[in-house]
Amino acid sequence: MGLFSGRKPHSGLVAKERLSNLLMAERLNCSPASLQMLKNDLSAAAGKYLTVEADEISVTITQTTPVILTAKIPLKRNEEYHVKTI
Amino acid sequence: MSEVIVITSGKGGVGKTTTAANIGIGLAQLGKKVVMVDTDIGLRNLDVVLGLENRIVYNLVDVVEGNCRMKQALIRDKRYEQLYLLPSAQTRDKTSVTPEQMKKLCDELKQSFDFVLLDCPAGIEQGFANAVAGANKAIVVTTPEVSAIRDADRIIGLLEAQDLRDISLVINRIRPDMVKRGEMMSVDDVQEILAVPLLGILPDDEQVVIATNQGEAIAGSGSKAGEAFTNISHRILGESVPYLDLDSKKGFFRRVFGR
Repeated sequence: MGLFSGRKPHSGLVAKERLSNLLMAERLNCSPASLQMLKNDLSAAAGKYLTVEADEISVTITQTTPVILTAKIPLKRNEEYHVKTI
Repeated sequence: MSEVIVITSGKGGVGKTTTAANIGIGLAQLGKKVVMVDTDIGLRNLDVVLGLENRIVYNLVDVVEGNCRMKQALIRDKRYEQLYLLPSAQTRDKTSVTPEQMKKLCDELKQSFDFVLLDCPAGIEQGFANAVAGANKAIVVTTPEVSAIRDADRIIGLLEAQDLRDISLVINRIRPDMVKRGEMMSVDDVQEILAVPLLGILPDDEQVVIATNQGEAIAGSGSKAGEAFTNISHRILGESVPYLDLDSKKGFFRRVFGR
């Protein structure tokens, strides 16, 4: 959000985002770098079969019992590809 | 049935001792018989926050080692007859007591009190293990800062690992003006991140510093923080009390922004 408006985002929001990422990594004993790699691998796996919006992928972990990993992988509606195959 | 509640935070300086002291005072004001145990061996402070530092004769380690009877070590508060302190030892260290001994001590105190409040030291080492050993409930104190919340999360994980699952959260030093500007995490933000039930919110109130300077009670005083502590005590007794509106023009907000 802050990236596109050109204005610095409020520090409260920055703190919340940093903490969310950090705690997710710490709770699972999995470094933020590993989580990023997991994200990349998930996107690559889906990308093998579908056209994915790689930038829009979100991987979240909800602190329920059991803890749940949710990956949201938006797919591209590939009109061009459709037209070509017809 | 009596309860043994540990007040903990992981990080130091977030207001554990002040919170413990004023929850104890709040519960005593509501007619409960309360004992507060300072488990911070080597760095005791609950005595000075309560203004009882000149009356210490025996301490927790003396009781555990059998140098005195429990009754001799307990200090009765001068304001509230129902409130007692078991001070910590200042010239010993955390290894002077074991978790098993603490458990036994808590069981003994449970016989004569409605509430046993344990003020936990900062950190996650033996002092923490000692403090949580005898507890059946935990109150985690944090502030809306990244370092305090990160440590609180770690503490919550450690409490759950010890099978202490009755955990609630107190968020201290909230500044409504900064939250409004988006420059401080809100109560909702902190609660969402830590995902444990909220017990209370405490404003960043200068009355807390003033009362602590004098060794006086905040709970029950006219200040916003005093009101917040009283509300927390009611909630511990199972009553449902709405959270303070920290933004109200009277009291806290006006004091922050001058006359």
